[in-house]
Amino acid sequence: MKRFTYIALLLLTLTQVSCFEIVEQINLKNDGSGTFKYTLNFNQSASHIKSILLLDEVEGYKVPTLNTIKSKFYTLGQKTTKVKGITDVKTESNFNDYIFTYSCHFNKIEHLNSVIDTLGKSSKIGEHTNYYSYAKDKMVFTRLGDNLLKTHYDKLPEKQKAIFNGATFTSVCKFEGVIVKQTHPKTLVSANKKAILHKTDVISLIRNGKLINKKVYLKK
Amino acid sequence: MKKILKPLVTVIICVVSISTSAQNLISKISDQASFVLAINGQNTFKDVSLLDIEKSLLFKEVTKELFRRSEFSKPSNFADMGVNVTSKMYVAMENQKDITYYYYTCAIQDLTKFDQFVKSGLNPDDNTAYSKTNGLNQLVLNNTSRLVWNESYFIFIVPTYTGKAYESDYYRSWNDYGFESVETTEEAVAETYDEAVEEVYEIQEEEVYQEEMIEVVEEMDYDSNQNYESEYAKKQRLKREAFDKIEARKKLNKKGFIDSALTARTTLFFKDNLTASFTPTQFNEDAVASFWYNGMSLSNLPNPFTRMLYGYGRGSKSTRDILGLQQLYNAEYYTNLYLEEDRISLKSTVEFSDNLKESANHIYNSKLDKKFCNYLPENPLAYSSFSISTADLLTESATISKDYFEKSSDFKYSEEVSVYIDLLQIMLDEEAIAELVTGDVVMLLNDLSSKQVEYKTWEYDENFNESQVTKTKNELLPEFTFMMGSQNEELLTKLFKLSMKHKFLSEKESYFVASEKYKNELPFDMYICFKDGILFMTNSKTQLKDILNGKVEHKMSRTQRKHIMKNIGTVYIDMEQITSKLLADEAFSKELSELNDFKEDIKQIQSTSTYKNGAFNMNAYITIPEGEANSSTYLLQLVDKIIAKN
Repeated sequence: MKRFTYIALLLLTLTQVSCFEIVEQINLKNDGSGTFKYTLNFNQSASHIKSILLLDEVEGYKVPTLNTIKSKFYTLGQKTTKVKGITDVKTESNFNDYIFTYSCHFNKIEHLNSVIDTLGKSSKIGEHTNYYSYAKDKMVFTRLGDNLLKTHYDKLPEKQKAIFNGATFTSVCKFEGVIVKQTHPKTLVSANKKAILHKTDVISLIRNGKLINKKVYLKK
Repeated sequence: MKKILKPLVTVIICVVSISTSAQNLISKISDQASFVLAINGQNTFKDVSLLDIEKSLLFKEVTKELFRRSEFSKPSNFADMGVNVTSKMYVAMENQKDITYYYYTCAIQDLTKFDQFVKSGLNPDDNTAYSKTNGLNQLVLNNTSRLVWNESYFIFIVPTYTGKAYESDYYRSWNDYGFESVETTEEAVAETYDEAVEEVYEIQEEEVYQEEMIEVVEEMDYDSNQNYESEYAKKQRLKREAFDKIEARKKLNKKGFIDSALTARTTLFFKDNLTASFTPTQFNEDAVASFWYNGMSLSNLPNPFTRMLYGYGRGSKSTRDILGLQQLYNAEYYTNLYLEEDRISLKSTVEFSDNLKESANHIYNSKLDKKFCNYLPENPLAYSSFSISTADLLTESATISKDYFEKSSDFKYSEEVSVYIDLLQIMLDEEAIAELVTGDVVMLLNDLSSKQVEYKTWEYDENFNESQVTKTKNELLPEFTFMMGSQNEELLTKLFKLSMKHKFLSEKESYFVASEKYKNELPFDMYICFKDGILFMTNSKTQLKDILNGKVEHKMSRTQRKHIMKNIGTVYIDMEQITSKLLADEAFSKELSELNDFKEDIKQIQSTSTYKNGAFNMNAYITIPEGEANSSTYLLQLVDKIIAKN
């Protein structure tokens, strides 16, 4: 019976195409404070995830239980509560839809760099770039990316790289002030000139993190 | 005339004797071998020429990998190596006392070329690697591996030391020998030197080394007037040096042992007086390759009793092996590979030892219940089935286990185990278990169908305010069915009711489904029902309808039904259908675009298992596409295609 279940589930994992989306949302006030929300949505791959979760091991990796995932995610979130200027940290694991959300309030947007640094150290990824910065006097928001994940991605076997096929990254930044101009040709500016949206595929972003580099100039 | 005849006869005798010795390389493998792989070069190169292979990507890749870190230079063709690849060659593992040999032997085609090839990578300044004694050439590679050859054949041999006497203490460092547990108190400091030595003496396993350790330590320059720290440090250093000295001596002795064992084995290899040779009974002359393995021990048998006793851990096998009765309770495994005109086939046989034959006769004397036939649908993508007698499996397992442990004189708990098995037998009612699980099982992959599924995502308005929306996409879902024979409907009904009580299952008209509570945790719908002495689990609505009707609307082909019903084990995979279904799916056709290039390559994979006269036979084959000249050429082309793709 166990053998049958294993074969059936393995077959299912092989016949499913995995797909997920990452959504980054920033609300930035003129004084540099604001809120940050990071969402990992695996709902498109729900069947795939369910099959994997019923297995003990996939490709030599032990499959964690739902409780382990929830607890690890919570622990990671809790680590960021110690970061200066970061408050109201919330982590939400929705196992009905397989959507995981991290959110927090920041006094200065640069504090988010320390949040990423903390998470990076926890997951042994490495050092970071100044991903987010805001010059209050000049009213300029800067978003940078790096190639931190590329080295790790390149080392993955082709089969595991396929996990990222079809995955998307969406970044939405909303501002208190009005946007005068922004530097990225593929970034969209909202009708009310108070938000930008940038959507790209995750593989392109891993291969070239600088793909999302941009400056947003707000009206003084 | 006589002048001409004499040397001619001598030459003929020499040639015949050389070729005979080359042909009988198998007789040089000892009966202590535990696996032997024979490659029949003549059959391998029957349908595909040497030149075709030399030109192939496979040859380039294999030689590149094989000679990447080798002392030999990479050859560009077989002739350059001087070996006779169209003869029979052998790879074997041989267990002797305290040493295991892994070797490869093959006939030499051209001695001059072979000499040049093997000596090509030699360092000209190193005179120690090559030697010639009593007509035998020898190359020592990587300190211990050796290549030894005469005029007609060679052996490449790699040894592994398996004894205990010269084994290094990997898990004990010098520091474990007595001092690390010494407490750093004044009393401990006052501990006498003799006591420390005594501790060392007790921990060392081999007497000879215990004595050596004491001698070495007793010679230590110990000055009790020094302060504690320096005394301690010095004592530690001397201990480390003593330990290192002993380990170095062990290494030296080990090397000496391996060297002399290798010399003895290779010398014997080139003599014709090996009294106990390996004699395979099932190596087929028509096979391209034949494999024999003597490791099908009791532990490989489906034996719930020994598993219960030892568990499934990594260490469990070695625990069983040290009991030393493997020879009485083993099975020999033979496999022959054939490259035929329209298929590649693998024929395997497991020959049970006399002690297991009687039990195997009972366990495998079973055929699938005819009622399964009513539920086998037409054109499945794949199926697998087996039929064993559960009652006999349990009874015979207990008998074998008891017998095994009772004969294990070295095993001090054999009496306890015997009582334990008796108790288990009393607790486990074999007949009742066999009633619940008869031993008949069929697994079917009915279809791969596209199913519309919903998923949640976000959409943004003109001001990039988000709203969660539900979208749909098509997913490829395998439809499968599991059937298991059972005669205990009463107990199964109780189990279903219990599952309903705990909200695992919900009851529909005449079948069960996963409850609302657990539905979300399953990646597919699951329908469970019991009918005609068969427990069904399926996620196929079509199959469920057939089950509830009492028979399938469209029956499986007569040939396939016969395949399942007449044999104790079967596997069938329709690769052609599976590939076309995967490629027909929009999402998969993008993901697996490379599969497109291979969709015509493998048609079907089929395996059949039977049991007759104490031997378990398994015949498996892969059908090759029509129009291919033969399976050898096809296989070479397929491998080259895969290499080219990567």
